[in-house]
Amino acid sequence: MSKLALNRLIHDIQPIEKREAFLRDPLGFARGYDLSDAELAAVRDSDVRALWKFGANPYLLRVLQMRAGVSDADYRAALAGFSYPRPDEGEI
Amino acid sequence: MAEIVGAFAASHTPLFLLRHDAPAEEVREEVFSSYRRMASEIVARGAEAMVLLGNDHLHAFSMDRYPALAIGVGPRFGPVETEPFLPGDVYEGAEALASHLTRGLLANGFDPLLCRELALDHSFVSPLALMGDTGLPVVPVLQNTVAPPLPPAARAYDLGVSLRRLLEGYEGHERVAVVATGAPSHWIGTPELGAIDEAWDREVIDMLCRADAKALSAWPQEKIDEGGNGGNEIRTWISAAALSGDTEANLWTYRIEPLWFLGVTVIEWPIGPAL
Repeated sequence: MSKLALNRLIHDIQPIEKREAFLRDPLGFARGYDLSDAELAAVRDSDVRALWKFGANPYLLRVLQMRAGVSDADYRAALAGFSYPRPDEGEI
Repeated sequence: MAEIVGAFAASHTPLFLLRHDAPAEEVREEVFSSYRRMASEIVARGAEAMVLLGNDHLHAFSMDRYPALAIGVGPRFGPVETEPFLPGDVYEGAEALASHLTRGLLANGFDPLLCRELALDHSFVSPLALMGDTGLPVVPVLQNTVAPPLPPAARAYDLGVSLRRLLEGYEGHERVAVVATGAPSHWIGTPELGAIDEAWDREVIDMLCRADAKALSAWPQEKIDEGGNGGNEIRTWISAAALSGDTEANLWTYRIEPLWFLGVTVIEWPIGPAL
């Protein structure tokens, strides 16, 4: 489990064709990223709440949100109860 | 020696392009005309190049390798592929000027990443698209505002001071303009997505308008965070202010537009004595 690995995956699937390749074969695509099952599932399912808790960078989440077609209202609703910055926001 | 003929700050957002026509006509007219006016002024003043102070939102760079400071030193810059809504315009690079700035910054205690190739995200492209084609070559200068740990805002002030000296010591152009992009408050990808804090914005703008960028640069990160993760982009404004001599800025436009997630701001600094 690694915040850096999670952000690396979300970054790498920003291009639309890479996202599509990931969605076709999440396990295969994510091999080598050192992610937990929960992290991988969160990316696959565009579970923004889980991804926020796992430490995904907000700018990467924004692109993921847009690629997944999640509305701004639904995005805010999914993150209800959380706020920026997270306690560990400045940590490497 | 290059004369700095204009220093500006202007907000950026992908929503200028994705929701270009969504706001009311009077909002669009006010905002878009400000960007066009900025471009017209830059051209009318005879600028031969533009130094663009911006950032990258994890398109060109990843969190694996994210520079505190980077300069595009190349013949041309196109848009990042990960923002397919960006126009496909390719901007000519002011390569010699960029090389000069890189060497000078290194000599002045900065450590910029020299990018021979660099794709530009909406930080640069969205304001440039609204400005229209100036025909001017550009030097993109990027500061880290998105991938912790962020450089302290005071560093941005020092950067502006150094850039001023370096630009005035450059003999390859007679006149150069500077445009800082980003800010003020906005929240992107956070639970507060789309929020705007007018009070925070006004406080930042007021400080710049009373020549208090030095004090703004001393804000602790906790204060900057009150403007959202997007508020970190005030670093580019601070750099432009310091470059201008921390003069009293003139506010051209501040227009709150929820559809664009911003109080869209355009500011100009008169150019005063170098700090």
